[in-house]
Amino acid sequence: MNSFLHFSGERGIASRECPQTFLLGAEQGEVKMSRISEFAAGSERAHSREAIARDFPTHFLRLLYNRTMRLLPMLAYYFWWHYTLAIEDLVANYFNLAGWLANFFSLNNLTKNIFAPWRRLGEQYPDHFSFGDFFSALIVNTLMRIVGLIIRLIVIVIGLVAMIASLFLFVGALAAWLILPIVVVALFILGFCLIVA
Amino acid sequence: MIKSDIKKSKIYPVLVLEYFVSEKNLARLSKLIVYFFLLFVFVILGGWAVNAKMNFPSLALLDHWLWLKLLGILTITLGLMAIIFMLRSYLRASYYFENVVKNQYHSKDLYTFTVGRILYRTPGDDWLAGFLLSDTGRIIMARCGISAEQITKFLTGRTALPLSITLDSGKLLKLREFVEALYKENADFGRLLYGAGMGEEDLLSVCDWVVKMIESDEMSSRFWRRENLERLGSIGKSWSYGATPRLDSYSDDLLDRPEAQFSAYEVNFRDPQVRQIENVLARGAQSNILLIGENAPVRMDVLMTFVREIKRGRVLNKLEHKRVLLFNTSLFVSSFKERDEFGHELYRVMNEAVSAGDVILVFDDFAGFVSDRLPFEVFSLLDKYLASSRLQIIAMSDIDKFHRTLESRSDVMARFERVIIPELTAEEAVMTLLSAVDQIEAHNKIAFTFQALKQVVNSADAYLGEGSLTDKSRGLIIELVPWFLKTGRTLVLPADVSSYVAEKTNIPTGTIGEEEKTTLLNLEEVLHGRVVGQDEAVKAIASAMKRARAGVQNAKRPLGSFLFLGPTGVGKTETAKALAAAYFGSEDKLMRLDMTEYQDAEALDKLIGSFKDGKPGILANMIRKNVYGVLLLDEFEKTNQDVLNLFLQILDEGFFSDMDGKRVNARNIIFIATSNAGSSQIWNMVKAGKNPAESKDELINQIVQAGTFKPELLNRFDDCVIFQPLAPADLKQIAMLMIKRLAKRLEPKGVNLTVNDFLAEKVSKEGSNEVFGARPMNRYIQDKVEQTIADKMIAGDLKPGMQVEFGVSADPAELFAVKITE
Repeated sequence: MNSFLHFSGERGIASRECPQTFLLGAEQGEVKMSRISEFAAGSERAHSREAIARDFPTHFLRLLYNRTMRLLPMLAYYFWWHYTLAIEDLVANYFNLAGWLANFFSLNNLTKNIFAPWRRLGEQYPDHFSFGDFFSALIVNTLMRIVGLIIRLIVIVIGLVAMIASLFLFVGALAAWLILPIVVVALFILGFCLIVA
Repeated sequence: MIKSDIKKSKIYPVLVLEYFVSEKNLARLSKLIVYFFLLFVFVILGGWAVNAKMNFPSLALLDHWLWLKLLGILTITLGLMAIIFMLRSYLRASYYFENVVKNQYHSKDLYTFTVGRILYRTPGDDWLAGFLLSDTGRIIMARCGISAEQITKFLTGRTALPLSITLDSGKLLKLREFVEALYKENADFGRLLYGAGMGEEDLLSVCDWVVKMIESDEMSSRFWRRENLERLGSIGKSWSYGATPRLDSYSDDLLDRPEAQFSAYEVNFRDPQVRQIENVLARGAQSNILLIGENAPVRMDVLMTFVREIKRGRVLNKLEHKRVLLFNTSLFVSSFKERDEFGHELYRVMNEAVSAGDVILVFDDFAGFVSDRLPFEVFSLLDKYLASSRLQIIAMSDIDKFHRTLESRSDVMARFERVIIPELTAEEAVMTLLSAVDQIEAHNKIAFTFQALKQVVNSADAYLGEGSLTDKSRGLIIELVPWFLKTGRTLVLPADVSSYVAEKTNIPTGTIGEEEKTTLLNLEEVLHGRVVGQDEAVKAIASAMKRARAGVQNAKRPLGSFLFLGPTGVGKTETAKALAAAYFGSEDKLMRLDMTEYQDAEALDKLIGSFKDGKPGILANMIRKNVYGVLLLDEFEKTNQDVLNLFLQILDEGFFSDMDGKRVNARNIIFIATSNAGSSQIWNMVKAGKNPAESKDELINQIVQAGTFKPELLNRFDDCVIFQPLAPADLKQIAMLMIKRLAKRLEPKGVNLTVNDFLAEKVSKEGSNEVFGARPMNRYIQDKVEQTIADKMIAGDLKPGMQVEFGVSADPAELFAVKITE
C-alpha cells in the first residue's frame, strides 16, 4: 500500500543544481503523489485523496519504521567503507593535489632549466674573436642566467612549501578521518552528560 | 527476479542510504545545523560578556547551570555535523564518482547508479512507470518534448508488462540498454514517443545526452579533481622559452582565446584530424601541416580542438607547453609598402619564432599569402623554415584555393603533410550541438528539447547560407535565445525554432498557418486570376508548391523546377510573376535572368564568378541575396552548353559552387525556365486540331531530336509544361484584364474608364497576332486607347470626375467612337 510513497520527494542526481533541474519543475508540472499512487497500485486499487489523508499518520509511522529497518544493515557497509575505500580515496586525492601543485609551480620544468637564461634573452658571441665583444656577451648572458636562476628558485621554494603544507594537511586529515567515528560517539556522550549533569 | 537481484550489487547500500536521505537533503540539513551552531555560540558568548560586565552574583548558579546545558547542546550539534559529513562523503565516494561521472564500471557491478535508482525505487514491477516517474526519466521525457501531464495520462489505467531483462546476465545494465528494452517491449511507449516525433534512435541519443549532462555536472561540482584544478593553468612554463615581441604584434595567441577553455566533457568528432596534426608536428624535420577545410570556421574548429588538447596537456611530449600563434597575414602584408622592408621583417619574425622554441605558427589563407599577388616571393623565404626541424608551421587553405594554387606547386607540397577536414554530417552536428548547448541553457535558464535542436540543425542546413553546419547551427541558437526569452517560456520546442527561422528568413517553415493554408488550397484560383487559360501549367505549379510545403518533395533538390514550352505571348512569364506574387507575397521575389545574354564563352564565369579577375557571379549573388523565391530563366535554349550543364547540377542537387568553391544553396528556389522551342510544332498540332498537352511526349521527342535540349536536362525538371496558343476567348479575357488594369491606373486621376465588351473585343482582335500571341496587346492599348485618353485630357475635353467610354464609330476611318459623359 505504501509503496507509492517511494516516489515521494525529489532525490538523486537530477535534484542537484544542474541546468536541467528545472525540467522537473513548474513548466512540465510536478507529478503529483496521488497520481503516482494510481500508477503504482493500478487504477483499481487507487485511493482517493481523502483516504490518503485519513491513513497518513499510520502510513508515516510504518514508513519510518520500514526505512529504519532497511537502513540498519547498511551501517556495517558504512564502516567497512570508512576504513578501506575512503582511506584509499583520501590518499588518491592527496596525490592528486600534490601532482597538481607540482604542475602548477612547474617544479619539474623549472628545475630542469634552472640555469637557463631568462626568456632566452642574451647576446650572441661574435663569430670572429674580439675581446670586448666576447666579454660583453659573456657578462650579459651570465646576468640573464642569474636573473633566471633567482626567479626560478623563488617559485620552486614557494612550490615546495605548498607541497609540504599539503602533506601536513593530508596527515592531519587522515588522522581526523580515522578517529572520526570515535569522536562522534564521544561528542554525543559528552553532550548528553553535560545536559544531564 | 530483478527485485531480488538488485541486492547483489556493491552499489546497493548506497541506493538504500540515498533513498533514506538524499545527498541534497543532507547538504541542506548541514547548512541548517551550521546556522544553529553559530547562533548558539553567539548566544553563549554574548551572555558571558554581559555577565562579566554586570557581574550579577545572584545569577552565578543559574549561569553555571545554563552554561553546561548550552555546551552539551553544542557538543551534540558538532556530533551531528560530523555524521552528516561522513554520510555525504559516503554518498559521493569514489565508486559513485567512477560509476556516475567517469563511466568506469567494475566487473562486479550489475547496473549503473542511474539504473539502480530506478530499479530500487520502482514499486512492484512496472519498470516503465518506474522509469517515467524517476527524476532521470522525467528529464529524458522532457527533453523528448513529452510533458508530465502526457506521462500521467499515458500511465493511468495502463497494465504493466514484465521486462525480459535480467541482472545476472554477467553484463552491466546501463541506462541506454534499460531504456532500449523498455522501448522494444512496450509498444505503447513507442507510440507515445512517436506522437512526439521521436524514434528509437532519437530516444537513445537523448538518454546519452542526459547521462552526459549528469556526468558533466557531477564532474564540475568536484573542484578538487585534477581535471578541474588544471584549468587554473600553471606558472613559469614559458620562462625557459624566448620572448617574441615582434611576432606577438602580428599574431594572436590561440591559447588565450575563450574557445581554448576546455570543459571536462566535450563531444569531439575532430579527433582523427587532431591526432594526425599532433603526430606530424611532433616528428623531426618538415613537421608542417596543410590543413584543408571548406571554410574558415571549420578549419578553426579543428585547430581550436588541437589547441585545447595542448592546454589540457593531452599531447605528445614534444608539443607540451607549445604556444599556437595565428599569424595575421593581412595585417602583416598591409604594414609594408617597400618590398625589402617586407622581406626583412618577415625574416626577423620567423627567426624570432625559431629562437623562442615554443611556437607553432599558423597561417590562415596560406594560398593567398604565398600567391604571386604579393610583391615578394614569400614562399622562397619561408621554405628554409619549413624544411627545418626548429619550427612547426600549420598552413590553412580552403579546398578551392588548394586545388587551384597550392596543389600544382610541387615545392610547396613537398614541405607539407595534408590534413583534409571532412564536413560533419547532420547527426554529428546534432551531437556536437548537444554538448555545446548546456552552457547556453545554464546561462539563460532555458532548455531545449531534442527535436528543437534537430530542427535547428535542419533549418541551418536548409535555409542559412554557406558555412559549416555546426557553426551555422550554433549561430542560429545564439540568435534564437534572446528572441525566445521574450516569450517568457523556458522550454524551447521545435515549433519555436521554425517560427524564428520563418521570421528571420521569411521562408515559411514548420506547421502551415491559417493564411498560408488558404493561399495553398486556393493557389490554382489565385494564379488563374492573372493567368488566362493554361490550365495544365497552373495545375502543375500549384501541385508542386503543395508538395514542397507539405515537405514530401526531395529536400535535396530545388523547391520546384519547371520548363515552360510554348510560343511567345501565351503567358509563360506572367505565370512566373503570378506565382511570385501569390505565394512569395510580392513580384519582387521574382528574379530574372535573360539567358540570351549568356551565350558566349564567358557565360559561365558571368554566372558563377571568375577566379581570374575576382568578379563575383551574377547567379551566385542573386541566389545568396534571395534564398527564397522564383528564378525565371528566360529563353533558356539560347544559352550555351556550359551553362546548361551548370543547371543540370543545380536542378539535380539544389546547389552549385561559386568561383571560390563556396557552395550556393538553391534548394529554396523555384526555377522556371521558359523556351520557345517546339513552338512551330505546337502551332501545327493546334492547327491539326490536336491538344499539344496530350501529345507532350511526341513534342519533347521532337525537341530532343532537334538538339535543343538533352534528354537528361529535360528529365531533371519536375515538369515540362506546354503552353498552348491562346484561343480567341482567352485573348478577349486577357484584353479585359488589361483594360481593367488601365481603368485602375486612371482612377487616381479622377477619370472613369468604362470597361466594356466592345473594347475588349477590339483590343483582342487587333492587338494580338499568331506569332506573338497576346504580347502586342499591351502596345496596342498604349498606342490606341491610352493615347486617345491622353489627347482628350490635354485638350481639356476629359476632366476629373468624367466618364469615358469607347464604342463603335459611325466613321469607318475611325477605330472607335469616344463618348465622354459628366
